[in-house]
Amino acid sequence: MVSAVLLGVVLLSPGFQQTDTTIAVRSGARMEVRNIEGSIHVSTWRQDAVRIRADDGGAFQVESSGAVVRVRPEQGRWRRRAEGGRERYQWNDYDDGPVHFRIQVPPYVALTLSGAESDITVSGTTANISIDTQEGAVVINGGGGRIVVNSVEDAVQISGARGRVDVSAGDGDVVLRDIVGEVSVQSIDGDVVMSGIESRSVEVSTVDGDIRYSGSIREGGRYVLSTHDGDVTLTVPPDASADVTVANFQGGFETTFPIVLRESQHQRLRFTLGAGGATVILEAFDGDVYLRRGRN
Amino acid sequence: MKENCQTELLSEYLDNELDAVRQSKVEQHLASCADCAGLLGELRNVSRQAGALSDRMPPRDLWPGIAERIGSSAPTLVPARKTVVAGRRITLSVPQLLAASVAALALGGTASVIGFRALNSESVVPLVVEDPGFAPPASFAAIAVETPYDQAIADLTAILQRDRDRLSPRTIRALEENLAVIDGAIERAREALVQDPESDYLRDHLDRTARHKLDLLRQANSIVSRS
Repeated sequence: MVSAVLLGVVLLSPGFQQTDTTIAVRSGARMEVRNIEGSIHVSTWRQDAVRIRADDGGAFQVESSGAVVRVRPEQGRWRRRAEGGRERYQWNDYDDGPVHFRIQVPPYVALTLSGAESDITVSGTTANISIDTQEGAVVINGGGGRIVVNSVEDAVQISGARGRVDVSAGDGDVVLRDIVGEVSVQSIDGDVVMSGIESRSVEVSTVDGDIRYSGSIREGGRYVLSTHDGDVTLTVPPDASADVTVANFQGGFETTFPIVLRESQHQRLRFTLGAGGATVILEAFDGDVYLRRGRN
Repeated sequence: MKENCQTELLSEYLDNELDAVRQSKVEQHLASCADCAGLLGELRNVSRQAGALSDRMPPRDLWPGIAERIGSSAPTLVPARKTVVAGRRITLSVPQLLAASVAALALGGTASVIGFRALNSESVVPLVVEDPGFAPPASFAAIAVETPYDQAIADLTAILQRDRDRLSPRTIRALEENLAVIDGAIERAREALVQDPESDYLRDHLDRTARHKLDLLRQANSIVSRS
């Protein structure tokens, strides 16, 4: 199997339609998959190779230099039908239906995935991930270095990432769990829910949706949660230390921490939790702000 | 700011002084770089605010005193990058944008910009003198609810309108819904700021919400360019 893989392909000629192929890669390799309609599901294996399959006879083109593997769907599709005990395969040039990719990669392969109307899932990788989708859910479990997701419509879920996470979402909820690293989320219409976050920098802004953050507050860190229409809830350990600013235009502020207001002016309150040090800014133009005592 | 940002071209772009090729390159870059698009908006705002000022001559020629302090004998006017504003030319370059913004902000208080003089080809300084009697023009109320991103938003909206046929109907619908959400929020933020123009929070909030719109338009144009 391995020798077949290594002999398999160093450079595939463009235009060769595939439904299943395996290509040798090396450490530091990058993979780009550009789908139009369908899905991209990426999981990991222990081979120094990537395997690309398209379900249901979907065709694709592959170019590889060993360092970069590029995949894109090909218009047309193999159709299979049974005829008198035999199976007949017929290529249809005009079948441009959805292509569903199943891809296996070594964990170290960086991924650049895009799809106009594609659900995208990535599981188990430890390298950079960049995803662009117009319509389709994005689910990432893992990732390291830098994880960038741009989505116009549908939900985004990321868990277990180790590195900087940047999400730009349009219409759909964003859920982040167990992230270690800087977090930046910009959303338009949807809630942003974060739990188990270990970060020195969290910047979240949404136009229409609630924001919920549960995680640590690190000394010298900066945490900014801002929404136009929705509530903001920050749950932090009882011993959290931070200089906190709360602002809203229409709404209120509730906290389970004992606080002494340091400053109050023009829709803004300022106070210090513990010894201070970290910067926390919580803003809800039209909504309530909650600061809650969590567990250590 | 990205490494390939050529901010020095923005002023010339603003003045329509670039050739067609460079103008096209700048537009392509602006469609994908929120930092430069925002900077261009700020540059336009500063120019617009400066353009709203009336020419007021100081009671006496201040230049000899200024020149003496900075060790220069005579002013050298620079024909370099110029921005035509309301019939007069104001030399602005991006590195001086912050200084110009500060000067423009100071207009709300007790100072007025009386002109821009160049010390050399690379340096342009706004000159500010005390003028306790200065009153800001009425048009400043309207300027106050603008954001640094308005012009960039208008530019990107026009580009998107031109190329929207390259997007799928579903994507267009999603974008329009998202834009409607943002526009509603911007309107609410503007109204709030009119009610309470002194609020730093409302000012920041309006800018942040406008930034959402800029980023969405940038993303939409990026999708168009890939399709």
